[in-house]
Amino acid sequence: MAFPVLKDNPETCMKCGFCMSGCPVYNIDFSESHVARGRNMLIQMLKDNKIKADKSYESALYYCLLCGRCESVCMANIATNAITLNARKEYADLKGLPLLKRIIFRLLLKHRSFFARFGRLLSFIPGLTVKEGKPVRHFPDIISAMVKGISSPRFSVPFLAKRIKKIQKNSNSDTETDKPRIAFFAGCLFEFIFAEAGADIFSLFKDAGYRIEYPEQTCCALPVYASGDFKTAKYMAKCNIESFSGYDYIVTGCASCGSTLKSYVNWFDDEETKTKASELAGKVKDVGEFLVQQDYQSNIEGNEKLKVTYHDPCHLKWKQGISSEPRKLLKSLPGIEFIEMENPDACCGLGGSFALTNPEASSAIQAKKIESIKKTGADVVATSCPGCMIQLMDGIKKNNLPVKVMHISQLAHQKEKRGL
Amino acid sequence: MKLNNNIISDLKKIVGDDGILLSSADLASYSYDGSCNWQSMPDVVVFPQTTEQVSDIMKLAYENTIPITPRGAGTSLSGGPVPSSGGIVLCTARMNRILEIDEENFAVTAEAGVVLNNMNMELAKRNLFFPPDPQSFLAATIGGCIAVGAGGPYAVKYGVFKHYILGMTIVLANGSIIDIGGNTMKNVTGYDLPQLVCGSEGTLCTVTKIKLRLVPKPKASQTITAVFNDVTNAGNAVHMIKSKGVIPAKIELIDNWVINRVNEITGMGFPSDADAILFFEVDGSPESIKKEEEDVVALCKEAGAEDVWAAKDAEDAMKVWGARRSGFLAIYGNAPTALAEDVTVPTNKISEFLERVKDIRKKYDVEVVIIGHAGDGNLHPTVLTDKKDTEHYERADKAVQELFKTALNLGGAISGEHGIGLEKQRFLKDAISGDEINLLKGIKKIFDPKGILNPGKIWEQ
Ligand SMILES: Cc1cc2nc3c(=O)[nH]c(=O)nc-3n(C[C@H](O)[C@H](O)[C@H](O)COP(=O)(O)OP(=O)(O)OC[C@H]3O[C@@H](n4cnc5c(N)ncnc54)[C@H](O)[C@@H]3O)c2cc1C
Repeated sequence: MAFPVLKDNPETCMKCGFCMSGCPVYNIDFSESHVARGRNMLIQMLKDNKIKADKSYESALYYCLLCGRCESVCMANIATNAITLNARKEYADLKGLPLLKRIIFRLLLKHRSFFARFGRLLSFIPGLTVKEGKPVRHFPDIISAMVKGISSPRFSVPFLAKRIKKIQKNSNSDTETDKPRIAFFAGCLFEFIFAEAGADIFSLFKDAGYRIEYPEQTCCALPVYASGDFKTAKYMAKCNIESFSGYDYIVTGCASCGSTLKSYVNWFDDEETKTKASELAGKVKDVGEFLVQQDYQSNIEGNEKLKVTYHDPCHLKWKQGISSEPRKLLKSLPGIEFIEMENPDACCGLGGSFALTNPEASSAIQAKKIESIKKTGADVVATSCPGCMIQLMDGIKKNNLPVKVMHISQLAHQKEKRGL
Repeated sequence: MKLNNNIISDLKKIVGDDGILLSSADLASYSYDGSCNWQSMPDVVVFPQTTEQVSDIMKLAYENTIPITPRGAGTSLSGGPVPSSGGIVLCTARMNRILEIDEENFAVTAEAGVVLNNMNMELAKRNLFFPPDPQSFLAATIGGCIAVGAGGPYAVKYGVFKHYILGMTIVLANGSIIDIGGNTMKNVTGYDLPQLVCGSEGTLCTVTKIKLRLVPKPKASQTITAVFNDVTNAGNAVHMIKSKGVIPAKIELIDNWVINRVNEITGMGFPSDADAILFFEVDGSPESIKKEEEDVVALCKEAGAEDVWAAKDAEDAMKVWGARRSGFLAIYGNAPTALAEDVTVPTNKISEFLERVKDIRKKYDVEVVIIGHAGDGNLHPTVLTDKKDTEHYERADKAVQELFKTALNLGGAISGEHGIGLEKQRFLKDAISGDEINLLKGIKKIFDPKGILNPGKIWEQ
């Protein structure tokens, strides 16, 4: 599937309204300022001095999941997400970022690995973390009280970096130098929240005999870029670009990170960084995509039938055009009966901080998704993005469904992980 | 006009706090439609969810003489849903329930805000088919389609929206709710009010529910592509095919400029020097489409086609129609402003019109491209320009005016499907007589004595 070059000029929007057809947020309240066409128009009107940059403008700018579905139906090939992000940047330049975001972006995420070292300290705060071995559970913690009922998962200690060290220590395949060099890009959610699942991906590659490494890395910077703090985001992107040069593949289990790594190339103007970013983009692979391309054969033996359905992460399907590979992988696995849900590519409603700032809309989108999952009668809903996993777990918990949420790679590896 | 707080709180009582929009960004996002030139801010946007709520809103507007503009998805290309006198925008987007699909009587009843594509998907599950297919189907509401008398490529064989209306529920300017029309295909009971409402662009009443006739889904279809080195021959082919009694479901035309852009986008590899390509779809039973395919191929050759071929399989056909659709992208992706016109000529005048378009292109030195419904003469010549480039835009506008004049001289119409709205008011006097316009105004007066329903549209004030 070839992706056309998208234009980031809101004026080229021809207002056909096609973006309304799939937009998850528009289809909740049908309000024009919540769909790409409306936002394009508002951004253009601000440029033309027809409206003011007031709170209602800000709210329209942020009332978007950045799922990219609008771009997939756009008649004029417009990069609606980029337009929105550029406008957020201009707005942030004008009004400044809120203090909390400044702290999170410029202190915590920018210097992530530094703060990660203090991860163990978190475990002294009761209820905030899950220790190794225990499943990641949900609970309405302090954060969820703050954001009106969306339960947030706990941090899992030890963090991923430590778990990977342990795996590396116990294996010896690193010496095979004739194999392609694969780098694992974990992303914050696998690093801190789903550290166990992150480690599973890593050990899957190890066990299958791949030469996989875990280079120094930081947050992909999507949350930072999406809030209009381009400067910090670019700094972080550059760190990652440097760190990941020299590898043959960069494999990630996070759809959002994957699409962001691929989009670095649009963030920079200078030729040198652009070239490096474009090289990087060419090497980024979703785990499922990579395994299918490598004709991966699972060594799981089994004749029990686990009913599995699949949720398409927006950032995999709409941003990267990947939807058949994960299904192919699932169908190739022994012991699995694949059931397609209705509208598998409907958004889960998380959209990063969207779920925190617009909990009602987020829950309404989530409810539709949970309904489709419920109808399948599946035991497991698999997906390719830890962000979606959070949102799906939350919805399943709220509805008391006997469904387990798993990253697709966890089903490919280690049979015991499938146990319900 | 500025609405006072009492009105706002009364509106809130009707639709609830979250059924109303007042913030500056929200109002601005209801100030436009799908056209390029028109913008005007409403004072408030309301989202009724029932006919009764529409009625209460209308009563309030009537008592206080507040302009009220119905709006579906705002995909209109004529400025129709732009609230040019301010006041209330009544958006039907949340009246989006399909109320009944009557499989035995081939009918569907739905609320005005149902998106055409959403309805079609439900119908497809039951093997039912609603043919009118305005190409904005992904967003356009059936209320909006009724209000502009929309149609699409299938018009050649199946007709347009107005041919499928059985009955509807409307709310008059004073708030009274009435059902007009009925349940049967044949129905002569006084003046045909549904047909009057169809195409009235929100100036007579607000439509809240619609009952539409359906047909069974055709069992088979085939797609044929014909390449012409002279656009006039393509025009002749359309006329020859229709006059021989062969009625394809669709006949679409793209010109040389569009062909080359489509090649760039899709890699279809159509001959780059072709002057025009016609796309046909024939449908019916497997036997009948075979015969029609042969007829279409033979007649295209007779008309001078360089090359004609039928799609190998369904996938092949899909590619062809995908290429046709990408023509829109080709146009809008290549011009800051595209003046997509909607003139229609009788099918025996298509060739002549296409020749004249070439002249207009030269005369005003602007790109006029064609991607149209050739089967019904609704050719959509589109002038590529840039609103911000005044000098170029003026030339483009002159070209548009001449396109209209040309169509009228050939016995055509200034709007095939987009309606008049604000965009084509200045051409109305050339298209229909003063007496006819007076009749329109008189009808409007009966429906809307206070002139509050979508005021300022269709004729110049
Ligand atoms: C890309 C594109 C392709 C298009 N292709 C076609 C095509 O092939 N054929 C075609 O016919 N049109 C086409 N159009 C034009 C347009 O989409 C149609 O006219 C469509 O029917 C409008 O529907 P809407 O819901 O968007 O109505 P709106 O644009 O919201 O409103 C249109 C008019 O109807 C009135 N109205 C809306 N709802 C109601 C109601 N419930 N009661 C009373 N009045 C109401 C409004 O006041 C306005 O005057 C196209 C437009 C675009 C952008």
